[in-house]
Amino acid sequence: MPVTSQTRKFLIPILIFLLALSLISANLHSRENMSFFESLVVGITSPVQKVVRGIIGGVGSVWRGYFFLFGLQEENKDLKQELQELKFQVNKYREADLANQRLRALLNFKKSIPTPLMPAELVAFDPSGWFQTILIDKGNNDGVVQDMAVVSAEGLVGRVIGVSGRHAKVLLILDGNSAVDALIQRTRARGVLQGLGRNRCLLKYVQRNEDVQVGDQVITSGMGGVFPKGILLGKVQEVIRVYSGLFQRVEVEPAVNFSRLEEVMVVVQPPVEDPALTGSRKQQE
Amino acid sequence: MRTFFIYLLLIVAAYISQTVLFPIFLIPELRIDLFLVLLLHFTFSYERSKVLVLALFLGVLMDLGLPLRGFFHPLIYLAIALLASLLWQNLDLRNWLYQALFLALCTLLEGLGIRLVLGLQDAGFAETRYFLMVLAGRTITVALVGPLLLAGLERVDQWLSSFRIHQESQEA
Repeated sequence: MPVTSQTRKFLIPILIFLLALSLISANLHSRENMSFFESLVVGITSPVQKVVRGIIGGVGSVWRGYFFLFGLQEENKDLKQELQELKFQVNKYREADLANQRLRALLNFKKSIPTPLMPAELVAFDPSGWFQTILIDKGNNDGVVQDMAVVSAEGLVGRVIGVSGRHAKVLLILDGNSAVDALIQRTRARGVLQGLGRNRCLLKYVQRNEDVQVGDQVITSGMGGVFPKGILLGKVQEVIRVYSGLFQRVEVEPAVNFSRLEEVMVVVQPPVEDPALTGSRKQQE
Repeated sequence: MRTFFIYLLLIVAAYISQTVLFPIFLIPELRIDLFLVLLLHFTFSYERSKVLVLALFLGVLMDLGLPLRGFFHPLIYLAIALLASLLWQNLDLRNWLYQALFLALCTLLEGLGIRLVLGLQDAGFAETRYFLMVLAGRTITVALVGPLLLAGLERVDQWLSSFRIHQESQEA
């Protein structure tokens, strides 16, 4: 029976919707690794994205090198002062480190082995702008796997949520879907750091009676096995204690300047499997 | 074939702008969805089946940054493409005022659609106040800039068709 143009008009949208639905169901089962299509698109577009980033970086360095020299004298003075302060801090930390080593030896603790780090370059951000994810140029072939932590010299960047052969997708700590078990460094008060979608995070579930002050540093607690302990997350920017409720609202400014992020490091140590999570994941499958 | 490559180039350029240039140079409130503008242009120029395939493709590209399981953007783009193809003749979407309003409406639908699906999944998202602020900013920006971009794309189409006619006449 020949297909009329009227039938075709309805048939094509229906076929496309069926295709969309089949892609949805396929997608629901294989989100941990990027699909073939995703890997292909990333593989094709990432070299161009890298070149564009390189050009922008080059232009930026020229700008910084020549045009920003105006404030150099002032900056030099500030930096000298900062250097003096840092020298003082380094001496202090060296002392603390030595004391720490002695105490660890006394308590018969094993000295922790430094975690291996793998440098990676940022290739792209989330195209929609609604989510806080980035794409880096290291993937399965380099030994990157799901849930590995990603850091920069300033602090924690996020964790790997999708991997292809040569690229990995990283969920930044700024995203609302990111949750990191955290500690206030000074008082060891616990909480969960969640992104607010903009350049701010919220430290949730900090009890009302805990001592938290503006300027306190927030670090990873190491709980959950994804993020190594002691990585800097940011500093407390605002503390709000409402009259009722169990918890206080603690807003945190991330240590990493995400808008200037260029190079990151992947913590190569594989994440520790949480039996509870693994069980639920298997159940879901 | 030439038209296909030109449009592929435009899609790649839009993708690179959204993944590399916009996050560096634009504040979130000013970021417009170039794929949405491209999609509307294709809706005005091509038959529905082709546009739906393209909507699917653009949606999958957009979903590359998605931190969750899902297939949000293809569905949203399919819905927008269908809506635009049904409306454009009745509403005279070639008029820049209608274009501005329709682009603003689509941006609102896109943002609210993502928010709704994430809400249903109980997933984390930006604070409501911040989300509304960004959405309002993007809606206004797309209403102001979108018609200009569509006019630019129209010029590209004109150039392509004149080139085709020139080539055909030479062959003849």
